[in-house]
Order: sequence, then structure tokens, then C-alpha cells
Amino acid sequence: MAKKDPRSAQIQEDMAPGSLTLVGFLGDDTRSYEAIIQQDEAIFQKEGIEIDQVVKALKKLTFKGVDGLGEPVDVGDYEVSVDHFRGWLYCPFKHKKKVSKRNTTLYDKVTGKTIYWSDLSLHLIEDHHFFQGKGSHFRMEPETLIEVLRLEPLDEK
Amino acid sequence: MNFAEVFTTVLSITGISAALTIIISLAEMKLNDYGICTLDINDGSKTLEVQGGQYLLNSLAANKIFIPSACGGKATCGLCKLQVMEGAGPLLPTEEPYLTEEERENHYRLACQVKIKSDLKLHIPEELFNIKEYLTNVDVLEDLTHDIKLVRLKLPEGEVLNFKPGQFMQFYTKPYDKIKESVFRAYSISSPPSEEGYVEFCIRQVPDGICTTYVHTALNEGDQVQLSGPYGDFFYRGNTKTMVMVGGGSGLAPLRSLALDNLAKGVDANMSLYFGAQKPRDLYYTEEFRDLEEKHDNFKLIQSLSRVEEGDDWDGLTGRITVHLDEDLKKLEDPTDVEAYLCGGPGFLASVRKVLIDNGVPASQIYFDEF
Repeated sequence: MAKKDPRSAQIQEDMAPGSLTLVGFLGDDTRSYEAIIQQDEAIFQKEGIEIDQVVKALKKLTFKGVDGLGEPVDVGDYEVSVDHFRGWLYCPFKHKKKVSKRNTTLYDKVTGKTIYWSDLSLHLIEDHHFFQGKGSHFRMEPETLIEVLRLEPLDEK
Repeated sequence: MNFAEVFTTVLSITGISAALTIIISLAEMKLNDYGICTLDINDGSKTLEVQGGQYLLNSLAANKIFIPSACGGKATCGLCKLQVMEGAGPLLPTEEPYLTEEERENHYRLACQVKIKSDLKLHIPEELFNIKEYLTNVDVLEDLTHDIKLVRLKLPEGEVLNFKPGQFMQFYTKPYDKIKESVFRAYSISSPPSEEGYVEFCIRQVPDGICTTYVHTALNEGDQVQLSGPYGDFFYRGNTKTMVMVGGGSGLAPLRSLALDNLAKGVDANMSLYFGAQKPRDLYYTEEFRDLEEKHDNFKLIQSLSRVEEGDDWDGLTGRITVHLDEDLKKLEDPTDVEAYLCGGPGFLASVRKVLIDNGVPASQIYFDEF
């Protein structure tokens, strides 16, 4: 097996439970974070969806939900609530300083599905295309995101 | 090749490998031995002799100089900035994202990333020398609400914690469950300085939070807890006739310390404490504050609940606390004569700050700790 470069090994280590967060970023996924990124990118590519579309949609919903100051807000087909906790989370990629502990819960009234993301999830997706490992609390499956956010390929619009 | 030749070859290769390993180890020891280095702090006002090869943050902590840090030396929080005037070597890529152009010009570095390889000249703010480490014991650990615990810690016999109400301490966990290393997080002190020998915190369970989960699931009365501090510049200024305190969730903690201290000292400003929550189960210290209202004409508590349901035991104010704050501020004759002290999450702080500024409270008189 090829040896990881030290930076990559440090990132993988910081993604483990107990390093930067209690549960970590990898869940029970045994893949490397690089493999998770590549495989998720491939799914979006196959569906013709830009990751930027996902980020824009999630950010817009968080932005709408903030108005509720912790109360659920009706946003079209969705019910959005945003909870803020004191403190900060740090990016395992050592990319940006820190992100506040703000979690968004989205309930899709049409599909009955609920997805959940933090501001750190948004940063990880936007800047690193990292949707976290399977089993992680904040893992969002590409297929679920495409369905719940009603994403369509840009050239089909 | 016969057996003797194979044996000799293997033996030769093994011998050469062992010799090379010894040479490399000796070279590493020699090259990485930086010997004893001198840390000259604040132009000679303090000098430390330390073993080279350590990181500056750890070396200073070992000498009881505690530089604030929230990530424990992982170069992810950027809090441990200090000025290294000489001897630090070139800026590392891991430090770059955390330092502005101005800070770089002024020799700021991240103490957790600077390895001591030679004598260093440092500038450390004087107030950081007041920061000490305390080994305490859990005296009381009880539920204040469904998700907030009171943690009352007993300081070592004879130890005094000099802090200003509103300041915070760093609280160190021990390894537990999957957490293999000690971590530390910042929590506001909720007790007043007059509680000699003890210090209290109100710690809210944060989903998946390493330290809050430790407090809520692994900590027990009698356990030892390491603290360092005090830190922060959130404290009472006392330059106006009106003091407004606004908090939500565990944000009540430093406001309690401020209110109890001011009332005990006989501060004559009019003090209003606004506390916003969702349901009756989120309220705490209500009785204590109602008692204070009865005893002091210049103190009042305003609570409001935003998610009251039928059957809830609540006949007080409802809706967001900012609505009631807005109404009260509009009644003030001189909103410029107000100092506001806020504590809560960033979203909460932003909305309260907007209400205050919209009502004429000068931004320079609004204080909060954002951590």
C-alpha cells in the first residue's frame, strides 16, 4: 500500500473520532477521505450536477432558516430549522480558521426525508467536495441531496 | 552459492543495515539536539531556560505561562498568536492562514507551530501572566435544565482565582470512550468572585461536542478537573446609568456572574437581564433572580419563551426576547446611556446587536464574547 504523505495522513487522523469532533468525519467508512471525495464527485458528475449547485441550495436554505432563531421556518416544500451552539469547529483540512457550530435541519414535506448539515459541512463540501464518510452524523448521500434539493443538470434547465 | 556464502551475505547485509541505522540515529540526535535555549520575554523582564526542540506553546505552558488556545496545538484555531521578535525562523505554511499582513509584519507567530531551535525574543501581553493552572475537584454536578449542567468546582485549599465577572476559563477533559487525548474548551464562569474557593460553570450539551459530552456523560462528583485562566475581555465597564444584559441558553452563565457581582458591590446602575428560551424547561436560576428583584430596586429579570404550548406552566412573556428588548429600549429617554452585555450563539448575538443599534445604543458600548 502506498504511504500517505504526512499532510494527508494528518488530515485522515484529524478526521477520526475524538480529534476535532466527538464522532469524527468518517463514520464507519473504511475508505480514505480522498477516495470518498473521488467517489462522491463521480456520482454528481454522472448525474450532470455541479457541486456548486448543492452548496448554493444548502446555503440558501440555511440562510432562510436563520430567520427563525431556532424555530422551524416554512420555505416552500420544506421546513427548515437552524440551531446555533456556542463554540467553533475546525476544518480538518487546515483550510480556514474556524466555523461556528450552526446546524441546519431540513424536512422535505414532499418526500418525507430529513437531511441535516452543519456550517462545517457546507465548508467541507464547497471547498473540499467532501461529503463525509458513510455512517458519519453529517454524511449526506449525493443521491439524497439530488432528490431532496430537486437538483437538475444545468444544461437541462 | 553454498550455504556458507548465503549465510555470510545475509550477515554482511544485516551488519551494514544495523550500522547505517545507528549512524542515522546518532545523526538525528545530534542534528535535533538544540540544547538549552533562552526565552527572553518582554525585553528581559522575564527569562526562561528551556530545552530546545519543543514547541513554544507547550514550553511556555510548562513554565506556567498559558497562551490561549482552543485546538490544543493543531494549528486549526489560530488563537495562540504572540510576537516572536527574534529567532523563530521563517513563517510556516500552517501559520499563514491565521496571520494578517499586519500581524506578519509585527512578528506575530502561532506559538503551537514555532519549534524552539535557538534563543527567542518574545513579547507576551502582561495580562496573560495572571493566567494560572488549577487542579480542582467536582463539588457539585447537577442538572439546571434538561440540557444544561451546573458544574461547581472546588479550588485547591488556599488557592484564589482572581477573575473579572464575564471572563472564561479553559476546562480540560480526560480521555474517555473514543477520546484518547485530553482536550480543552472555553466556558464562562457563572459564579461571582465572592464565591471564594469555588468556581461554577453552566455547561450545555452540544450535540457531538467532545467536552460537553464528557461533562454530561463521563464526569462525576469528586473527579479532578484541570482549569486554566482567566481569559477574555468581556467584563463590566460601568460607564453608564443603564446596564442591559441579554442571553440565551448557557449564555446566562457570565451574565449571572456579572449581575451577582454588581449587586453585591452595590453598583447603582439600572440593570435589566433579558433571557430568551423556547420552553419552560429551558429556564434556570429563575428563583434566584426573582429573589434579587425583590431585594434590589435597580435589578429586573425579563424572561420570554418562544415555543409555549397549550398545557405548559407559563403565564409570562412569549415570543422572541428581542421583541421585548426592542419595546423596552424604545421607552428609554437616552439610549446612548446604555451599556449592553450579550452572551449567546453568533445568530442570537447578531439579532440582539441589531436591535440595540437600531434603538440608538452605540456599537462601542455593546460587549460580547464570541467563542
